[in-house]
Amino acid sequence: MLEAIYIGTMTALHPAMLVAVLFGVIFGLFIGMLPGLTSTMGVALLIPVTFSLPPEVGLAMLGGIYCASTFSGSISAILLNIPGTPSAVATMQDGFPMTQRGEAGRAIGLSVYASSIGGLFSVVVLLFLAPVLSELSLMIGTREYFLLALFGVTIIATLSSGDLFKGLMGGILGLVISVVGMHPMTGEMRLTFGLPALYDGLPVVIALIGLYSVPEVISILGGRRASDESARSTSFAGAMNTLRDVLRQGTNVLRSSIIGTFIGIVPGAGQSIASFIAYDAAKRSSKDPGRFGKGSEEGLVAAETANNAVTGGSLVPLMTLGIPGNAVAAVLMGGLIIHGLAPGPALFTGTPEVAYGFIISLAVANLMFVPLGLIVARYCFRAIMLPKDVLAVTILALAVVGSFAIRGQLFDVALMLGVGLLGYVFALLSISRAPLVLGLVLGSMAESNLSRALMLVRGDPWELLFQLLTRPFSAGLILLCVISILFGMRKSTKADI
Amino acid sequence: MSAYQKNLVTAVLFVVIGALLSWDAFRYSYNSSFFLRGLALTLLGLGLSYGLILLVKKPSVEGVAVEDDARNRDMFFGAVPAFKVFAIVSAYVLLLTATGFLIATLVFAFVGQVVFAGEFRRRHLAYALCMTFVIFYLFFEALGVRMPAAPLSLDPFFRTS
Repeated sequence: MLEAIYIGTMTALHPAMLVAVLFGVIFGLFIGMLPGLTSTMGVALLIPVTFSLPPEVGLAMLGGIYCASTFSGSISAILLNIPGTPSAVATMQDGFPMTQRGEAGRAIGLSVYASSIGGLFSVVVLLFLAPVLSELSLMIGTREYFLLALFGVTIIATLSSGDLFKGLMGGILGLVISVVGMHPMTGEMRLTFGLPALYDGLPVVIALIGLYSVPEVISILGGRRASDESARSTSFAGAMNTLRDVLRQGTNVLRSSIIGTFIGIVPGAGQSIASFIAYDAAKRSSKDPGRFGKGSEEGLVAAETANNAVTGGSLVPLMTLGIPGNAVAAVLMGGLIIHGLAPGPALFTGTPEVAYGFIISLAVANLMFVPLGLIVARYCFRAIMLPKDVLAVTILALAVVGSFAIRGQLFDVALMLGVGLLGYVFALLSISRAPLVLGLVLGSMAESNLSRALMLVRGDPWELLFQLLTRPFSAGLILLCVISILFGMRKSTKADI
Repeated sequence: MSAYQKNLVTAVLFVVIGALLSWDAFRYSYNSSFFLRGLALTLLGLGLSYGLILLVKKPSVEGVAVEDDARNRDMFFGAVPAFKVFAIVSAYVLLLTATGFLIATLVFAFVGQVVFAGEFRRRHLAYALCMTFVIFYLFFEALGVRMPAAPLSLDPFFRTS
């Protein structure tokens, strides 16, 4: 194995590979920053470019996009309170308050170093523990997926920012919106109002764009950005010196890296869930949980470490079993197949230079986006200095084009505007939008897996409950859910007092 | 509007949404809607419970009055830009369907800046032109996003591919 790693390292450090990673990282940084363009879209867009390249070079470029775009979603989240990618919503909870406090540079610095460390951790896991962990991913069935989604829902208490009732109602509304469209098992249409554009449901990215960009523009124009002046007077110098601050949070970084990598290994779970769970875990174990949501560095570091740790984790089942861990991994799988490579154990034994070269190039990408990310963010930082009218039309134009880009339908722009109205009402009534996003992300996963699990026990809920309690993995998840709920209730009672 | 009144409006809003969803959810077959039914009923229950708790724990009149003034002013100033944003973006979407990306975005960016700033400046036109062409070439040319089709579109004349 060490010999294969050596071959992979030599392959990854070849100048052609480094140039490919560099191109991928630059492209990924821009893709992730723009609302509406996701990592999946970025990787898919460049697959045709890799046709003419050797497989290891093409894959290195795609890996660079994946790692960099996962990080750069946080840039617009921190500077403008608009997440570039769904996984940046947890980052935004504390990133934007830091910008309002005049610490945008520091927030970007923490984000870039935490992302890099999380990404590197997951690459090490992918390199040494992939075969063992892939066995674990096979133990997870529909029941466990449902429980994982349920565990995600219990995090709502953490994201409710004060009022548990409002958080719960927002979260459930998110779950309801996520089930709009065709039922995964019966095919019956629900809540579509007869509109064919809603048959496939409401894309999460469109909902995110509307939910955050429209209220933010209204807030900018209304002049209610509380610390606008302090945001403008801030400097970017603090960004460079934050590595030590990230390393000081060793336990938080390690815990978030493990959470991100584990969630990445579970096929279909995704970066958003990982960042929310890591954020929740950081808040629970923090000595100062009251700062979360108001510019806590711990919260920002946890969310960013976890979402980048998903990158390596999601490639574990892909590279060892041929099962993609998430949408980006599925597109990467397409890239492997196009180059005549079969994902699975044979990839490591038959073409070690490609398999290990790709893994090491992911580590290179995670290191490369640190300086590049800081440079790009430094220029983006100027966006908050723009006059309000210019900033408002730019955000709105990007929101409209970003919503249109997902499926190429103008109806989606109207949908974005509708969700924007909902976001505005939420902002007016002081209801946190994060639980709604969590519900949106988890809803379809919870419903489809609950339906499948019930089908396996012929619709008998008691039999399902018995199975959940007697399977060790699902019983462990139930225990986690109970602990999470009890913790949330305790926190809510304390807040009332 | 005070925090208490906001919470009360929230409770009423979710009771209405929960009731409408519950009514709709029971129109679908059980297999397709057991999850939705559960969510709708939970939402209704939470809304009712929240409303009842608020009515029982009604704060003193003085406490409410203190914060009323500033909050009402906030709501008023928030409503004007909100109306402007929704009106301008809706007009932009309608214009996109008729004139395509370039003309619609140029008009939107220019008019938007003038309306949001409350005055005309030459830089508004310059920025509108720059932004329109940067987004056009970035999204539709470099990234290959499909363009909205429109009968009066000038977009094809500016395409390089």
